[in-house]
Amino acid sequence: MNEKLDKKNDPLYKLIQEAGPEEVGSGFLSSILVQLDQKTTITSYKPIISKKSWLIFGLIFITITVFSITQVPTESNWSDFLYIPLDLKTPAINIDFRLPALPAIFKTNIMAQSIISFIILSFAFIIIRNKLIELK
Amino acid sequence: MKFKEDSEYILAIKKGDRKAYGLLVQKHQSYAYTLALRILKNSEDAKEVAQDSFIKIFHNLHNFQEKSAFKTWLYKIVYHESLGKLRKNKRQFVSLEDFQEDNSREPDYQSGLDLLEEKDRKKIIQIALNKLRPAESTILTLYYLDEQSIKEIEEITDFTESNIKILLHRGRKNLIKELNKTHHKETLRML
Repeated sequence: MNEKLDKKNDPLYKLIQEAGPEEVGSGFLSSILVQLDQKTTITSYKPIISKKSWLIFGLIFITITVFSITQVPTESNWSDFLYIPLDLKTPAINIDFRLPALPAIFKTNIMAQSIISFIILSFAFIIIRNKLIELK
Repeated sequence: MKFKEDSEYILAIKKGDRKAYGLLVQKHQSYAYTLALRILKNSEDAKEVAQDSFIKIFHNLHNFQEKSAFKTWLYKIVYHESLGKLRKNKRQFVSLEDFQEDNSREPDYQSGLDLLEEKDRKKIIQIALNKLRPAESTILTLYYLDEQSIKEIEEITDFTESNIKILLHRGRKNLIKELNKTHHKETLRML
């Protein structure tokens, strides 16, 4: 309150208020609107990999990861599943669809969990950081 | 033109009304441009910075929390965009250390200015303000023209309260000095 009163009694207040703001000239607003339209056009790009594709990739990745962790590799063949319900006579050639051997780094569960957690947290970190930058 | 409250425009813009944004720009454009001009001392640069600030504001309006006044938020963006432009132009923003204490006697600028026509008086004041150091003219503009409080200026500029008070004090002194000089020159030119 005092600050306001002091300001209004200051002779410079009257002078600067009287001088007012500088004039921007014509075309100021239209230039902004044109730039806004251009920016909107530029930003409405289509990503190479759509959201749907990312979702599918994500689901595949999660499925493989979960499957790799929970399933213990056995000696059985994947192709064995085909024979059971149909009981077909198949040619002598048997293509071996063994589960791919996990890299040595995945040998222990703790190690595997750590790596997967690290990847997930890294993604989360990138997303949060981008969001914070956007907010600024 | 009579403008509505900022909050009404902001609400309309958030609902997708582009016209409301045009009106909001029109309401504040002169003040945003003036602030940029006081810092940059160049009309083209100031225009560019003010326009860029309005574009930035449009894209970030959904993040505006209305904790502070829209005007304060706008000035903060214009102020920092202007500083960025200054740095880009490799000019230097005047720091507090650059201010020299001047104890010369204050001239009687007011009686002379009172005799002038309103249009000439306005011109002289604007010339004098533009001749001041960027930090001083910025603080004077924010304080006297935009009617921002010291607290709001703190928020806009990130200066401390005491720094703002020093800048105000020295800005006043230097403006009076400049007014006297400019007034004298302009009067001679008019004769």
